Amino acid sequence: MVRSHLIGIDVGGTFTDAVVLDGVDGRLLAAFKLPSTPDDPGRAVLEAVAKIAQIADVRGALLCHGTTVGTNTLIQRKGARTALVATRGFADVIELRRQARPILYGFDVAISEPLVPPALRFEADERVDAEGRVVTPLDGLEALAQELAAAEVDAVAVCLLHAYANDTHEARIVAALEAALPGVFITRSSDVCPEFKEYERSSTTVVNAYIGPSVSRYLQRLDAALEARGIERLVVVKSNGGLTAPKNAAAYPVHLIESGPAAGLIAAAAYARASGRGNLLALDMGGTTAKAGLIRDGEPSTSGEFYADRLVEGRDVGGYAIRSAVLDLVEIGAGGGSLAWIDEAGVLKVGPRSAGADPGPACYGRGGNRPTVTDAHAAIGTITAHTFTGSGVAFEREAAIAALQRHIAGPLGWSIARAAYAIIDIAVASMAEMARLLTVQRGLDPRDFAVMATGGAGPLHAAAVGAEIGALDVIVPPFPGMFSALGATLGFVRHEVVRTFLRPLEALKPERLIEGFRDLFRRAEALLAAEPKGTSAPVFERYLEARFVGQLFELKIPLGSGDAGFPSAAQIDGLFRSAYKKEYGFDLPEAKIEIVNMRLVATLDIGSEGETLLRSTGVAPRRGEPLRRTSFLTRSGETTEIPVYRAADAPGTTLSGPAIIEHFGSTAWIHAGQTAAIGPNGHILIRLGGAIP
Amino acid sequence: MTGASPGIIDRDPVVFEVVRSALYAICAEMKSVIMRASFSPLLSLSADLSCALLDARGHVVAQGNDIPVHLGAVPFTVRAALDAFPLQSWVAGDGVLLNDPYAGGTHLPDMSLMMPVFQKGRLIGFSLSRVHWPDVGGIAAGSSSVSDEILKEGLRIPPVKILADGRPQPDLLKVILANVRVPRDREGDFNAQIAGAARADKRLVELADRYGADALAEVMADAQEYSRRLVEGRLAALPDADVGHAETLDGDGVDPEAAPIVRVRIRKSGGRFIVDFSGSAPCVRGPINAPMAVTASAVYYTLLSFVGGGIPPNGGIYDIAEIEAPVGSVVNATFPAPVVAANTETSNRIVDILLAALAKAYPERVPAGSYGSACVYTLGGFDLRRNRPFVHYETVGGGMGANPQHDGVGGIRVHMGNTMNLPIEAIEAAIPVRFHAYQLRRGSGGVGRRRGGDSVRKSFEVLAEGVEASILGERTQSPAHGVAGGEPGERAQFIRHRAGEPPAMLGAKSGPHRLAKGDRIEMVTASGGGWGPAGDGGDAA
Repeated sequence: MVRSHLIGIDVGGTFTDAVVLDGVDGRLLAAFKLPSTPDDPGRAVLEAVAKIAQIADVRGALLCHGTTVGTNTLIQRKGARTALVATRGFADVIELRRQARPILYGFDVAISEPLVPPALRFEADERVDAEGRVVTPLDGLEALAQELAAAEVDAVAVCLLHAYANDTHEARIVAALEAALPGVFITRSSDVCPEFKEYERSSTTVVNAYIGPSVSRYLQRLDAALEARGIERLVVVKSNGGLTAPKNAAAYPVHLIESGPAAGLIAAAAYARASGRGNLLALDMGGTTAKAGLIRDGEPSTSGEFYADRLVEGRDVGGYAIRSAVLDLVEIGAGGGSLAWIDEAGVLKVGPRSAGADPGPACYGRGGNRPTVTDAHAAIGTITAHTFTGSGVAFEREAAIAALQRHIAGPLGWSIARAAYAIIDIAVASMAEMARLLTVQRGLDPRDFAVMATGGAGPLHAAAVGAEIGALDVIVPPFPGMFSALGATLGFVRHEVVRTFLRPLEALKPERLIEGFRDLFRRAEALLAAEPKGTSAPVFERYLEARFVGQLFELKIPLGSGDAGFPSAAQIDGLFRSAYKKEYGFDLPEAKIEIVNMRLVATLDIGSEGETLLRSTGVAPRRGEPLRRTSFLTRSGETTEIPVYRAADAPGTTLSGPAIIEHFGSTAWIHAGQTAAIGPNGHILIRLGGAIP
Repeated sequence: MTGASPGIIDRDPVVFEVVRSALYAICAEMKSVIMRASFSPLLSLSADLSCALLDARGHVVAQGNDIPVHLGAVPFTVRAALDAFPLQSWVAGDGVLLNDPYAGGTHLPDMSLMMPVFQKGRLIGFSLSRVHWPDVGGIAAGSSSVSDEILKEGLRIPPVKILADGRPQPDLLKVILANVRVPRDREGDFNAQIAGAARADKRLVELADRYGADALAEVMADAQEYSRRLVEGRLAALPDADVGHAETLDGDGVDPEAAPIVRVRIRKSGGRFIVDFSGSAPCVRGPINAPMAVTASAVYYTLLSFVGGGIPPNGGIYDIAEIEAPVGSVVNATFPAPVVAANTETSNRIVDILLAALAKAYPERVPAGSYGSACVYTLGGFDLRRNRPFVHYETVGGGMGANPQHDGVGGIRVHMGNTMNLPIEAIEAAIPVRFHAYQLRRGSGGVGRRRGGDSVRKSFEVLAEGVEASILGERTQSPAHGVAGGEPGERAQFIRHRAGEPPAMLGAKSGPHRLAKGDRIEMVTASGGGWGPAGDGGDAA
């Protein structure tokens, strides 16, 4: 299928990034940044489209979009006036949560405020048991609908006990409410998250309702505006990295919470496949946070549950449980703007508080006078006025040095060099810890991974993080500053549908398995009907989630794809036991196995050729000369000069550190003892020579 | 720090921070392995377990973000294990198990497993996990009921070498499993505990391989020094005080007249924190007597939280608290006094009593009283429909006391415990019960400038005959105190509803009750106290 162009747009807090790829050969036609428009994020998207229309024909294009509208609605508490309908006696489940407190030692415990206030929690007379049998038939539906109509809400979440086992009561309530409350966003737990554990399921459904109206409004308006400009289709990146049409995205906005970062990981995975390096540790560092994710054998790892908005000013307040497939990300409060400070025992700390965009680091000359990670770089010389050319920042190295002297070097009796390097070392240590969370803590050896750095500040620290965790080497990919926008264009349409199917494996009847997956197929087909046409037929993968009877953590057992036959119970037994042994190191021969969930994953290829951008091409190497030399403060406090290169001018060049490479809006720092090879397609491969001297 | 040379904390702060963080990460990973491999919802869903790493002398260097009453008692566990098996005698693959509250334990269900870690033949530390087994025998399912001596509370295990070469001694394990309910699940839980220790061993050795055993030992020493400095520094910055407080506990479940007094005097002088329980009542007949390890845990928790939190808890802080508690008293129990409820109930009351004393000198730094409890209920019996015996143990949250800055949180675990609830959908899928309500008792928190946290009402019906139930709760009589003019919170209630009979009030510590099919148990926990007078303008929100 021929499509004119693929457009990728990622809306971040500061910048809206756009890339345009030729729909046929994946050639990059344009890549640029515009200031974001936080009051109406769609405006920057349309501005980007208008800019693209000046250089290319956007008619018939597919626009792939990573958005933070859902996250921002949640984090800024700008969601809908939302009601909850729960089983009588259980309306407080979303407030009681799992009853644990997030901090252990300390009296001032705070917990994320429930998104539905008590007055908007309604109870239905009904009850279903764990096997899905109706214990108390649903009653009083009309009165319930009237009460809800009088409450004047914009969204309703329906979450009944054991609705994963029997959804008829939820479905009837939704039908009655849809009739009584026209225009209200109504969603039910058996649809959004049909899995057991009432708090997690309810919380997921409530978040879906809370951000539902604003996300669906945003998507509808954007879709209509794009259509008016001749764009053929809009697709949105989900937390699981898959793409989906606005209609599906608007029904399950909770699946968009990690849309932006997921797009970055999709690009990382595409890079891993294109470069033949299957194992990457993707590290993205911006102004306030750093995020990391893992690519193994060319695929990002996923997790089934996370807590949104868990850290408020660096303090754990529990957050909102969301059960949904999400690319596995770790995030910490360590960015370029993170503040350095000394605690009362005299130990240097970095973050989690940040100078933010305003006033920003001291070296921005906007009135900030507390030292940040960026100021440490300014003092060392890895960031200079050149870094900020055209950005409106009046760079002042002296202000950075003064802040370091006053708050760190002076009180500790250290030199400026020692203070600056210590700040960077600690920021690097936090990032390394995050990298270890993803690798070492999961039994993976960091030596099997290359660190891939993106974001404005990622390439500045990546070589040091890589050396610290003992990674193989470090890669700065092409377009490190626009990686998420690129990633949006590289995804597949992807849907996961799941149903709880609790029973002993030995009692598994093949016809129930067939019937269960047939139901999941129907649900997946309904979702796929709204999607753009693929370049080939959709692919379906089937999974069973199982555990030993008595245990409560499941392992996922692949059951093959499409309509191939199912393995027998005995074969499933063997598959489970070998997976268990791999995970825990032992088998439990006497323990019996039970099945918990059936899961179906549907993927559809939209035909992006963007991966070619990430492959090495045959561009003729050019020996690059340094752009300039820059003043550089060494760890021992001497001032020397090091060369600064521009990646675009030096394809095929291999250079030795210490050096700085400017690369598409970000800066890579190559340390002494390391070498960097600049590839023809614009990637930089840094070979780590062990520890940094 | 010993010697004149600066420790690694000053010489190489980065290695210090990196390795110290790694030690905490190992505790978290160990816990995650145990939870995932365990056979009890109490572990896999409620996380009633704690993990710690010790240095080569047995001092705590890092601990998980787990259960304060488990963790504060670790030094006692280590002392008992090392008294029984001197340091020089440990070899790789050894494992010492204990649960005896009179020899390093907290209460019988908490099973502690301590294993040494060797790198290249050198002892570099120990792992220790304390895992709550849902049953360890005794007079009632769940081993958390009311009796008048510890021998009736369950199987008592002094420090014994359960593992050699990393494998359980089969005879010893047989004896243990023959004395607990649902032994197959207990064996699974014990396997999980061993798997957790094996993981900790692997990770600690990796750390020593990477940074060197000497550097690791230095970090372990300095981590304790770092925490000690922080606590002492913050204490010294506060004005000195000499304050006292006394309250009676809410009965012991055996003797209807029991109302033992807990009396405390706290002297804060410079960086010292001296806590004297002289004048506290002698042990009572019921299970509310606190072993020294539990009392000390409550003091450590209070001290760490009082100085402001955010301090990595480890062996460095334990020596700061100087604790006096009369031997044979309700806060320093002696054999054969029963103790099971002290871990969950008395420990939280001790914290509230310490806080009430501190409030007299530092009202701006301490919260009002909380629900004073973990509120444990246990069920056991035979499930005809699923054709298997069952044991069930769960805690119920309550109201947290208000603090000077914020209203108290409602329906949450406070102070000495932090286990999660079990999802109602998980309980109903496993045992013959049906829940009727799980809700907040709104407006029950003490009134004040900041309101106390609301308590919880949780009620269920049993769907089988002959289910046995026990309750260990608190504050059916004494409400959570307010501070600085705040009002007390509402009290707890435990009620049995049976068709055709008036509701029967159950004791806060009572059981085992034999329930009939259709009986309902309604549990209402206590609410938190308020902080500051109501209506003085601070309550605008």
